[in-house]
Amino acid sequence: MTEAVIWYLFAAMTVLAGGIVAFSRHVVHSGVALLFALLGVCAMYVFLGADFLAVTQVVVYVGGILVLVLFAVMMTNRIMYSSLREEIMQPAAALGASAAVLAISLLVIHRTAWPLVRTTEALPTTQAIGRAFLTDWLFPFEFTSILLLVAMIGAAMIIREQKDEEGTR
Amino acid sequence: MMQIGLTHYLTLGAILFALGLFIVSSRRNAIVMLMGAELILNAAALNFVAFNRYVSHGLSGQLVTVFIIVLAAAEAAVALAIVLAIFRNFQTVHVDNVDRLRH
Repeated sequence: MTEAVIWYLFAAMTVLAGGIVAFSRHVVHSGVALLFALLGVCAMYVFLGADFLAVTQVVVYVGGILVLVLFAVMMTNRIMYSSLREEIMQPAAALGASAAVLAISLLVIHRTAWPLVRTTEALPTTQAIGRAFLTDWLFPFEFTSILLLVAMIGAAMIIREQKDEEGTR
Repeated sequence: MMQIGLTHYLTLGAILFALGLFIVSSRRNAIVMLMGAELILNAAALNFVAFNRYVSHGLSGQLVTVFIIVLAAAEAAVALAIVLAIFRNFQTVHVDNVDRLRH
């Protein structure tokens, strides 16, 4: 009972924050609302018994991606307030498409008889995840490290000042 | 209703996905579009963890979610680098003002 109430509170926070991200006029407000949406998903991971993922969610998303996003917002936001009418294009079409996707998803979710199994919660999961990464999931794990390296080099290459070209101009 | 089950998590995931889809398809600001992409990725990850908890044995869903988070980090780094490069050349981050490949 109490757990359900707390769950609904976190779910409401997540959806509300997502709505603010979608409909806020101010990019910084969207970024701060995204923080609460990500924290809500983190709370869902806690409810689902995924302790390692909850911590990873906070560390990577809130500590990394969100700081990066807010950094980019601060660097690029020349006009702080732009009207929502200028900011959102084709609102009716986008709203219709999203609502259709949502309706179909909800229909599928509630019509399908999910093959539920009673799983025992194995907490903490950190050791099992680490073991799986270095045994059965070793190739994706190593591949991901290469991907991160490539992304890092690529981001640095893209953002680099091209001094010689600008000097000749 | 008061017992939280799989459908609750899937419903939340569907709502987050629809919100992200709306953001990606309607906003002009590239950074806000990226935030929508993050919401979509989070919805997918939430579904993976929910299915892992209620439908499967083992930890595969949680492992896939770790990869989703890593891919989201890589994607955000590259996308924001592109946004900053666009801003340097065009002085805007509104995607419909960026319609040239070069100066």
